[in-house]
Amino acid sequence: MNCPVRSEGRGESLLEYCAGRLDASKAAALEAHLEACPACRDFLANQEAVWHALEAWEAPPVSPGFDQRVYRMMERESPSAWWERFRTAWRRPAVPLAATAALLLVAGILSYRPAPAPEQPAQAVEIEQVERALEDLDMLGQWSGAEHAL
Amino acid sequence: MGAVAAARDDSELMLRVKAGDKASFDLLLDRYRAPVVGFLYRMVQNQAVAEDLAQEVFLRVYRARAGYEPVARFTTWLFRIATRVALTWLRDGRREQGQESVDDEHAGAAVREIADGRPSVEQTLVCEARLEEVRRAILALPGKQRAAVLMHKYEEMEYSQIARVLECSESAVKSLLFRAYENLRARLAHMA
Repeated sequence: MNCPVRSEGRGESLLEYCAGRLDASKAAALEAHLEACPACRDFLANQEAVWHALEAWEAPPVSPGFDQRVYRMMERESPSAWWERFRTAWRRPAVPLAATAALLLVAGILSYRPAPAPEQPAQAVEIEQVERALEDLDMLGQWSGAEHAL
Repeated sequence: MGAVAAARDDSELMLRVKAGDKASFDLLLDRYRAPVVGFLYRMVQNQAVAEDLAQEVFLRVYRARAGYEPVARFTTWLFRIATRVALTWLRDGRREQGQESVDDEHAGAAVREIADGRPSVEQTLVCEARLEEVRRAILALPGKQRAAVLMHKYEEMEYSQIARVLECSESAVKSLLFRAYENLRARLAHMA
């Protein structure tokens, strides 16, 4: 067998041997190789130390309320849950009253139109303009008459 | 035995969930609650965060039920979601918030479980120090290397399945594992 450390470059068969996942024939061939190869023996000894150290690290048990929390999250996502919450809330007497009051308030705000500023009638404006123009002509006539007199 | 209990295959259970059978989801949750929380706990090293992330994983599974197709093993899909959730959490830097509270209480519990009988104070301290070293060595690994090692060691996954979870080639997984174990040997080999 080729040396796993030197030929594979990744020591894959040594990792799998250490994990106990190498099939019997490959394991036998590797064991024969190990007897003659100090580099592979060193690699394996170090890998076994890592393996055992990792084995000692256990995960803590899951909290008892875990499933309930998952179900609550699922419940919140469910569209029927929204509808149920809406219906439950609507059954409380204060909620319909508050909603009606809010609706009336919104309707009041939307229908409110400020009173328009009083506008001058268009006809009055026109008359005023004509009168001013006549006055201007009068002044012009008086001014030119005075110039001739001089 | 009911029809749900007879559905031993994970993918079959998930197809039942897709069809609206909540009891099948309960079975899947019961089956994978501990592995998923355990995997996430070792990824983020904080039990409260691990449980929050695991809840998110199961919620995503539930949300995705309508589009579920049994094209791969259920566990491949499940751990792909769990890995993504954990890597996102680590990438977003939320690790910093939770890291202060690496579970000493739980670490102590683990030591008590490892030791046979009643350990002395010295033995407990030595075990705790060793576990702390292991946790720090794992924590020092980049996210993908960490996930690969945890799936290889604790979930006993084959290279091909780890590759599908991490969405990379088998050769890339071999490379990840080689580098990860190389890092761990450098830090932990003295424990022999």
